Amino acid sequence: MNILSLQYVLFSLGSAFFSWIFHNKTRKYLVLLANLIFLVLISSSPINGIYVLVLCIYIFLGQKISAKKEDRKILILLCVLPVLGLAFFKYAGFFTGTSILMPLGISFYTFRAISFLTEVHKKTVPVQDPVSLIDYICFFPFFMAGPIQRPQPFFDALNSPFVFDYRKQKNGFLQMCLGLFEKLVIADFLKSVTDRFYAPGLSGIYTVIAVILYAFYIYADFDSYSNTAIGIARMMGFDSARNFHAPYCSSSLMEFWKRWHISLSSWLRDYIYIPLGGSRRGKARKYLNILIVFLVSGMWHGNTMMFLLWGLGHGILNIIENIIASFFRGQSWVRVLKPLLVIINFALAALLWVPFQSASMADTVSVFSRLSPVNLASFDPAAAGLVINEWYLCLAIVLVLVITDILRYRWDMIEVLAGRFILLRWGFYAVLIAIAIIFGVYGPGYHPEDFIYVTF
Amino acid sequence: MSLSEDRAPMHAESAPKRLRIRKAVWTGLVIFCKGILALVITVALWVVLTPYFRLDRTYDGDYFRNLPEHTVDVIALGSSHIQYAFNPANFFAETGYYSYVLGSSCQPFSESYYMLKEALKTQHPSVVLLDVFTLLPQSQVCYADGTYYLAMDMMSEPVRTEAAGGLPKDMDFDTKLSYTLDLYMNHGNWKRMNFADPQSILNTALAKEGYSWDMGYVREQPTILQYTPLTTFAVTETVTLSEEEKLWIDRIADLCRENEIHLLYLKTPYLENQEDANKLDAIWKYLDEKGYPYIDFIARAAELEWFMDMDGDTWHNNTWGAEIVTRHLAEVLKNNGWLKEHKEEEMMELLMKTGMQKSARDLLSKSNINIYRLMEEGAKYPCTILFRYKGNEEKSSIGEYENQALNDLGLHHDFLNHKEEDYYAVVKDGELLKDGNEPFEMTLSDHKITLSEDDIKVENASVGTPGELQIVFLDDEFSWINPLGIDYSSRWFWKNGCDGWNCG
Repeated sequence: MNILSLQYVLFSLGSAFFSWIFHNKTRKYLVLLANLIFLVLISSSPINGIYVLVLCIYIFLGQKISAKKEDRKILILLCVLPVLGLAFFKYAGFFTGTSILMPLGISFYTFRAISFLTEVHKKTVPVQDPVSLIDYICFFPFFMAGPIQRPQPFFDALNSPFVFDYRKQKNGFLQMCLGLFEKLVIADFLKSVTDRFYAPGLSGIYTVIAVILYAFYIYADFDSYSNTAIGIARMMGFDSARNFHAPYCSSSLMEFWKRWHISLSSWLRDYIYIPLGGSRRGKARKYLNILIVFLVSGMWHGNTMMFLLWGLGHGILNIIENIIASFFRGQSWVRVLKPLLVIINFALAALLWVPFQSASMADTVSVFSRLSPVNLASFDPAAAGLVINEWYLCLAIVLVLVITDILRYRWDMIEVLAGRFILLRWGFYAVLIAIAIIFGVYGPGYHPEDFIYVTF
Repeated sequence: MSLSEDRAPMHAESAPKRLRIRKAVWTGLVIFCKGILALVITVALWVVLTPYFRLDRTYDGDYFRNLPEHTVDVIALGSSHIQYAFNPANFFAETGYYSYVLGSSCQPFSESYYMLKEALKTQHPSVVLLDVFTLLPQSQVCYADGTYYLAMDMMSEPVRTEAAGGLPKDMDFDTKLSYTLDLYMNHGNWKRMNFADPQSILNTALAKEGYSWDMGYVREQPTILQYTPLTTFAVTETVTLSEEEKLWIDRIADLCRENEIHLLYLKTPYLENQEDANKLDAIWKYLDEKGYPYIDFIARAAELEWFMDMDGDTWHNNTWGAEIVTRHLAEVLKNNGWLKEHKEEEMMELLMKTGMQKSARDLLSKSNINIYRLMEEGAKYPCTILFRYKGNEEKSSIGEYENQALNDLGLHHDFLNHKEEDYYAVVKDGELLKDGNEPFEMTLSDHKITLSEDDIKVENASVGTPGELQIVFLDDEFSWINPLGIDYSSRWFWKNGCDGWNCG
């Protein structure tokens, strides 16, 4: 079963429906059943299921030790094994030159496991029974690519009776649909256009456009996954905070990381940055901690030097930003510069996606070297194999993405929509369905791109 | 009093429960109704929009692109006129060369140009045939009824995008927009096929009637032949070609020249009108001026014995019409020496032979077709022939021509010198399986065949009107039977060039 399939949507709706029926103590067994079915359906190799179940057993046994022993070293030791497991699957191939099949979702559930052990150690989460624990580690909407949900809200929801709230269910359903729309209509279209602008032989303005479009593409791709996952979880009675909060509206990279893949960045903050001392041990240590966090983030994303470079780039720029910001802290006139800072910040984030998406250093250098000279007058979309209407459509899609982001930054758009007149609402749905039918990349013969983050 | 006091708490408990149930039922109904409404909207929009925006048609270009490289000898381009008029199976039967129709509905010249460019990535044909219909005024209907979208069906997204650059400048905005949107809709069923196993493709390909594994040729069943001549129009007005039209004619010619391909422009026979005739004249004049070869099948219809009965719908040839057009083209290409030595390929052979079987069914299963034509086709296309001849010294009227035609079918008998001898034979795909001067029985493809003195039977059932001479054409798998009985006393049709039903 593919996440971008009708089977997955039906499976998710079925799981939500049964959550409404088995809403009391049996709920966790229902969630367990759904998770196990999901694991079986997505796994092409038994290694997925075996590894995650071994990890669950390990966490189940480890939680008791973690809860009893006050010593932090015990916790660190307990966390080492899952990290080694993750490192093995991520890096063994890199060092040995052989191809090793990485269990699906390992990066995400390893972080959830560490999160759980730490919270049990801190006594913010009680020791869990095996069923609840498997439910948490393998919760299917978040299994493949997050968000990396924290244990406490999850167990609170799992252990409380599910109260059916029509509006909440409807909003969850809409969020799932909008997520799929964002992926199949927006992200995949942007991907195809980006690839064409990245074509060998094109440079200058074409490469600049490719870099910009890739930034929007990766955002649309991952945000769509998060929205789909959060929508499904909401329908099953598990609330999750937003994973993206208009990241490209940020005026600094520090702010960007508070809005981009929020569940990962907050995880890195809470379980790496703060335990390392955060900003409490002087500036030099703070900068070192920042660098470490971003290097870990880079290593978590992938096993090539390019991801490390991407993490390093973000780390260094964050440090520089910290230093510059310390000179201007408290000065209100800086706010005037915010639009300019947003543009600069977007440019930096977009440029840093270049090593992130490149297979090698040579590719990265090639893209950077092709960024100039920029000659707007000579721009012709046909050079990238686009007819003019296709180009306008691309601009319209980016514009829609930016506008909806700004609106989402201020309001919960689904709630805003829910308050509109019924004809307006259903008219809007009909327009979205029509757009999805016309532009959607799905069905026989179409080949939707996999979600980028599923591969991490 | 005490009773009512006792009852009161019960009411207090059951009322909220009842309310809850009512609320749950109501919510369930609301969800159900909204779900139905959403489904209705989705299905309605799907039905309305998919014909234009989600192409679930067959993508002939994809099939074409996955043929073995450099195996196609002739590519036919143009509108549906060429799709119906050029049959690669006929061409194979005539020449042994492989061809493919890359024409598509209303295919404009700009599109033909990009089609050919794309085709040349995997193939290097000796000859390109290009029908000029989309330069004619009647082709304007393509722009009105939306079939212009179909022109883009056949190629991949990048090529369609590239081809869109060649959209006519005067096309209205709405059509242009719809056309462009159409470009995004790319399918690739071929990606799911196993090309290492050609037979599996034939079995599983999502072929649409007339497309794909008929090598781009679209079939139209033969109509009843009455030999109605094609109406033609004399030129009444001198018209000129636009610069854009000339540009595309030249571009295609240049592309062929650069790739050392012989290009032959043509107009397949169809019912033209005055405007088309005037424009066609202008096209031929321009081609003459440039020295580009062409064939005007409208002008040559009578000479080639192409009649309106060989047309399907006034625009498109039926199978018989296609056979005549293709046979003539094969003759021209052979005579000019334009067909180079070709590469034989297992998959292409399979495709062509499958096409030939379909052509045989179309050509030989019609009982109202001229006997001479039937004999000619029977010698070329895979079929089984059951033959019974009752010797007669006087009346058989078998001359040299007929004798040769019968022997070309696979019969081994001298009907000129042994007119009086009875003769019985069974021929399969040109191979004589059994013959003799005495009646016999045999089993073929699990079917019992009986050739007796006065009849031919299959599975003990007479297969047609008995006569003194009987020829039965049938499919190798016995899926169709076309019997022909000849009674010497009533039919004297063994006369060269004469249809027996009309000859005295």
